[in-house]
Amino acid sequence: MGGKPQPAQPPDLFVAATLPGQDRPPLPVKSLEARELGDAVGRRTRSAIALAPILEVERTKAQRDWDLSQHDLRMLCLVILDVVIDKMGFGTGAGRIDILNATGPIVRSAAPGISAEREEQIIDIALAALLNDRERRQQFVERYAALDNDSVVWREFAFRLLEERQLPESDERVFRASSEAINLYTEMLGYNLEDAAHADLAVLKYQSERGRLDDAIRTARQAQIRGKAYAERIRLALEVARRDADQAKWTTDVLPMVIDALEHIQDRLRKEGELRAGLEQRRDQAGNDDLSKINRLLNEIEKSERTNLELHNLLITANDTFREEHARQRLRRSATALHVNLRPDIFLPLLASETPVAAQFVSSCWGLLAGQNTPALVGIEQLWGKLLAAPMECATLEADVAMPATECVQEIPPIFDRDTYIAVRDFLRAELNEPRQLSELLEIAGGRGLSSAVRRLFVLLTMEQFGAAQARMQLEIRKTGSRFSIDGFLGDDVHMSRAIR
Amino acid sequence: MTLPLANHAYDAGRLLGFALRSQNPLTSKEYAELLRRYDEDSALRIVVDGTCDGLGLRIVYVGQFGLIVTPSDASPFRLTADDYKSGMAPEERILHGLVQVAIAAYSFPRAETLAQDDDVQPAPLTAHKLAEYLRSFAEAEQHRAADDSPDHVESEERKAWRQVLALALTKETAGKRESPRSLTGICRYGLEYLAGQGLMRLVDEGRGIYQGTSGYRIRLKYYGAHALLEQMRQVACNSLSSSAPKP
Repeated sequence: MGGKPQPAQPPDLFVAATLPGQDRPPLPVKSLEARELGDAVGRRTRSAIALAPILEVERTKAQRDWDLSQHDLRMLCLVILDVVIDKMGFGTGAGRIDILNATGPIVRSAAPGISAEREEQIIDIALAALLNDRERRQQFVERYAALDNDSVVWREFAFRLLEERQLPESDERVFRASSEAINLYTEMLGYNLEDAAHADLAVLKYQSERGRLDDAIRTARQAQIRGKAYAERIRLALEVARRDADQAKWTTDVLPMVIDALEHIQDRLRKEGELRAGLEQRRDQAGNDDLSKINRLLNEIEKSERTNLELHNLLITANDTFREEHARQRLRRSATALHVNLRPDIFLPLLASETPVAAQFVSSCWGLLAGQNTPALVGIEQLWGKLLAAPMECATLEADVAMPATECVQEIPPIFDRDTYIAVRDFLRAELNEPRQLSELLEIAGGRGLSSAVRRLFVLLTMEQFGAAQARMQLEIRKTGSRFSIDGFLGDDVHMSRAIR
Repeated sequence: MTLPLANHAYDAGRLLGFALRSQNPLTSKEYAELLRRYDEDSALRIVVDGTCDGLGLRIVYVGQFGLIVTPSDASPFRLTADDYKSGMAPEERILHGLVQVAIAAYSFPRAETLAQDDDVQPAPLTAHKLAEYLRSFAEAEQHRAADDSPDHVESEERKAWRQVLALALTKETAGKRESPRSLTGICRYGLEYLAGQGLMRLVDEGRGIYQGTSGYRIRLKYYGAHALLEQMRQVACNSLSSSAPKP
């Protein structure tokens, strides 16, 4: 490109990805270091991004209808995650009541005197942020720059923090944390989970042996949560393999992972068992203060052992489960691999379609969207019940009875009174002794100074008599073929005479 | 008929009865037991599958959330617009159909949301939220149409979004009650209907919050959404071929 030479600028990490195809020199780092750096930075970036929804709900709290300045929504979100992870095991999680019990006291402490309804609403805000209710529980999606083989590439990080699930064989709903949410607690600094678990146990043993029980409780809790994160990761990998039995590289990928995990879990169980036995011995000789601490420590270790035992059971049956599932799926109809984007592929095109097209589409979609038509069966007792029931009260819809706003375009003419009728009668008796034309009679009326109302009534009665039925006819009226215009009256002139009965 | 076959036919009938009423296996031990037997007893499975074929019912899913079937066009259990709501005018049918599509799109907007595990609960929704969702997308369509072809106002008159916007302006009745003919009223009807069909659950009666059930997800995930997409393509094809100039 022509133009002025550009001044030298510091290297911009983001330009390489936004301008694909443009050759740039690689970053000046050795490839092994770059790979390590890339992996670590990528993990840390994702950990930072996973916090974004929590920070966002706090940042935007001032835009809500109520004053939330007394509450730290970030803290509430983290407490919720803590409760959920703590309650998580295989197939379970924290119920709404668990979350309300854990967060309620915090909300009440921040705002004494707060109503129960408002308290629940505040907790719902934090829950909604973690579930991404604003975007209808879709994944959070964020782009980020990553280092890949000495160059910068843009990647997309799609994640969830919390999911609401129905418990198997129960109608109860629970919340479960995603692996990203668990990583917020465990892998924020990019540790390997297995390595971290070994390190935790070593630290825990060291702290317990030296009587640093408070520190040991904290470490045990962290180890317990990391244990859950590890179990969740293995469970997810097995679930993916189970669902896609035909394609899973079971023998090459999953089976070695199962063997490694079994080895790791057995080692952990052994070490935790030793630690627990040592602590139980100390408990027998401990004083009051230490006793409660040792009990708490043992409680955390037992939770961790339970998770590990459940994972152990899952791992030792994994191979059989996979084989059964594989055999079952061979017999099943092939499942559709790709799912439909309902909003962009169906809803929006339907909205943009012309009404005949929409009508055609809609006519065939009821069963797909709203189920089947199952006729209700009425038993004889129900039939009697219906027949003997009190008459139904129809809920009548309220009609909009508000009168439209109108205005009078002219004055309403006064209604003819009795005197006016008498004046017209006297006038006709006096003047209509022989046939006359309407125009002639109007001129006479004007000359006699009859009022406008009398003249108008006279004309109207003449019009009424024109073509009147025999029984009502008092005047005989015929067209003359000429027209007239007198004192504001105009139209076809007529001959008038008294009707002969 | 031999006795075992008669027993299987009876069990198949019972199982289909539960399925057609969209019952939850958690509420009936018998239903749960029949589902287990369907999985394990191939003779029963053959009878159930054959009966479903004969009744024009496609088996979409059999598992912990029940036996989920979808009727074909020839099935006596096919749901028609009149079954959904009787006496609807053509425009009203389009709006009710649009609302049903909107409920599905609201609950499972993208493939990744639909593909989640069967037990994951979708986003909760209310009639007001749904009406707002419809209105916002209709307005976006209006802006897009204005940008694309500012001169073609007359063709807009025939667009579905135009009907949504026209209805969105419908006020409440004089008694401040929601009119069943307003957009919110139609959305409420749609949600209540699905709740009656076992496809939505009422989470909070006071606030009118609904949430799609696992059965709703399964129905769309394993069959409904694909069939809708197929239908959409077919209708678009027909529309194109009918509007193409004749030689």
